Order: sequence, then structure tokens, then C-alpha cells
Amino acid sequence: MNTPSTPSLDITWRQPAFLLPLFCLCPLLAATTSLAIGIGLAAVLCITTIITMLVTQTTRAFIPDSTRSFAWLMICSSITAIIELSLHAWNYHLFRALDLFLPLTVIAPLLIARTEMQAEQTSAATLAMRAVKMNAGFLLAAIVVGSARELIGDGALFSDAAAILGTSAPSIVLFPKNMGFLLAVLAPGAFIGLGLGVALYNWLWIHMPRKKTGHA
Amino acid sequence: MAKPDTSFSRPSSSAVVASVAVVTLACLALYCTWRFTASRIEHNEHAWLAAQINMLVPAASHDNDLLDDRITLDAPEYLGDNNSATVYRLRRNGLPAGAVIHCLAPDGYGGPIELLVAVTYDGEVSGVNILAHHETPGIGNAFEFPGSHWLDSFRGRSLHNPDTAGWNVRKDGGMFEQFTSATITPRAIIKGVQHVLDFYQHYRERIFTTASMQP
Repeated sequence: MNTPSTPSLDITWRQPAFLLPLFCLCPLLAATTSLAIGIGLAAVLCITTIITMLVTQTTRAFIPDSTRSFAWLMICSSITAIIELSLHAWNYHLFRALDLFLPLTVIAPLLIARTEMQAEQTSAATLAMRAVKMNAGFLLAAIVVGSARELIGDGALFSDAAAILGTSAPSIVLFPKNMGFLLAVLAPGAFIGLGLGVALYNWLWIHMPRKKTGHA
Repeated sequence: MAKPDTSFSRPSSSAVVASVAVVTLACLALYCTWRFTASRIEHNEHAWLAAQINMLVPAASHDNDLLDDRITLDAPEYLGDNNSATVYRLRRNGLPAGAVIHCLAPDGYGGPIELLVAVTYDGEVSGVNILAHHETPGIGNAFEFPGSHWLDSFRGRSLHNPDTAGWNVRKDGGMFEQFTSATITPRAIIKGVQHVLDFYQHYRERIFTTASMQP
């Protein structure tokens, strides 16, 4: 049965491609109860993906195709575990805030590794560009969702920035905490917020004056 | 055309070497990070626990170093198996003034709930805090969020106030509120606190006479 299809390992590796970003939503939704935590999460992801890229790029030449998916799975999870330990040691507040969603960030480096696997040998610059785009998107989403939830739920912005980001950025208080809309800080609030965000994005997409593009 | 050597049939020796190398390096890197961070992590956890304990007991209520004056006791008859309690002892002028007991309430919906219960010397609750739990997200808001006062309802309670029947949620004929239609979680916490008080009453002598653990 030597059909010219991809080997079975590749099917399991490529097929859930559309699922992987979905898992990325998990930490995004669960851990962005405030703007500071959102930015912290985006920073963690950024560091993880960059390290992953460096490691996978340098080891690429030494790992044969047949074991690459195994090796990179191993590498990605180790890097995430190392990041988790480091955060536990050096930024305890962020560690507690991200909690069990920290291990889930392994999805981001896996995505990077996956695109790298499919790609032919690409230049480091292209990959860097890709990582930057991906992280910028995540940062933007984290900022939007995080600040919306904190504003509505707690009536403030950057209320926990001193503990989590270590900055002395002044926290902005709009209204007292006990007047906050608790739902926004809870998990359903994240889904509602994200849904509204996507709706707004779609609305803008439809109503924006469009240059000629191939898509309808 | 597919290359036959990418199938599972027989890994090449270079593949085996590469896999072993990757696993070894990954383990090594993890081990080094763990060794390097272990002491800081322990320090962080210790500081966090200290902050939680200090939130429960006012500084004026004791004059000893609470965190170092601690013992660990097993009391399966009150706390269940595999649930040793760490007791931090409050002393004033050398006399016992109360204790902070750190143990598990075993019957939570999503597993054990980690409790911190502060009691006065006479066995009256002076504060309860939840350190960790695995309940359904949202259920914990009744005690997690600032401004939620459910845990305050334990303050001033003791084994005889209310009596045994009263140590329960309203739904079961007790005197504690359940929150937002959840009964399993509050029930577990209430029972956990009650068992801690039971344990304290029966072990009080031992709690204050046992020499503290070596740090």
C-alpha cells in the first residue's frame, strides 16, 4: 500500500491544524481578566515562540525528517516547562494569575514548529517576521479583551500592573470596584467580549471602503 | 512520490541518535532550570503563604514568629486519611494564643479544597481563607473575589455556636448560606472548617506542647 499520500504521522500532525489556534484561545480568554495579565501573557508567548524558533532553526540540520515531529514536540514542551519554572521563580504574581493556562501556551511554539516543518528551509528573517506577526496579533487581542474586561468588571485599568509587570504605571480608576460588572471578569464575559470584538471586526470589514481584492 | 524511508517501518540509526540526543538535552535543560529555580520558587511559595496567614491573624494577636513555630500532625479520625494538618501556633508572652491550621477539605466538587483556618485559643474561628481549589470556575467567586463576604460568616463561630446540626448549608437545615445554587462546594468548606475545629479541640494540648519542627 504505497500510496503517494503523506505518512500517517503527518496526518495526525497536520490534520488538527485548524484546532491548534483554537487552543490558543484558551489562555487568551481565561487569563485576560485584566490588561496587565493580558500583556504579561503576550510577553510570555513572545519569549516562548522566539526561543522555539531559535532552537528549531539551529537543530533543524541535525534532526532527520522522520523524527522531526517527535523531536520538536519534545523541544516545544521542554521550552514551555522551562518558561513556567522561570516564571514561578521570577514573576510569581503572573505565574499565579496564569495558573494552569501557562502549560497551554505550548500551543504557540507548536504552531511555529508546525509551519516550519511544512515550509522548506526558510530564511531566519522570514520566520522572525512570521513570529512577530503572530505575537503582535495575540498582543493586540490580549490588550483589547483584557482592557475591556478590566474596565467593565473592575472599573479600572492597570490596577495590578505594579505586581505583575513591575512597572509603576499609574492605574486608571473609572469607578469603584464594587460597582463593576462581575460577569466581564468571569469566563462567560470573555466569550461575550470576544464575540462582540469579532462582530465589530466583521462589521468594519464589510463597511470599510475596499481596495480591489480577490475575496468577496 | 513519497519517500519510503519516512514510514514507521524501521527508523534509521541517525533518527535514533537524534531522538536520544533531543530527549537527553531536553531533560538536562529541564533539570538545570529546576535546580536553578528551586530555591527561589520555595521562597516565593513561603512568602505567599506568609502573606495569606498574616491576612488572617492581626499582628497584635501574637508576638512569636508564627511561620517558624509550626508542627505537622496526622489526625485521620478528624481530618481523614492522607491529610496531615500544618499548625502554626500563635503565642503571646509565651502563652498559647491560638493557631492557624492549614489542611484540606476533602469533599470538594473538583477535588480537595485547601483551607487555612485561624482559631483563637478557645476554639473560636477568627478567619477562614481558601488557598487553592479546583471547583467549577465562577463558583469560587463567592470566596475569591474581594467584596465577597461569604467566608466572613465563619468568624466568631465555634463547635457549639452553632451546634452540630447548624454546621451545614441552609438547604440541609444548617445556618450557613449556600451560594448561587451550589451546595457541594459550600458544604465541603463548612464541613472542612467544622472538622478543623473538632481536630483543634481534641488535639489542643498536643498542638501547644509539641516542639516545633526543625526548619
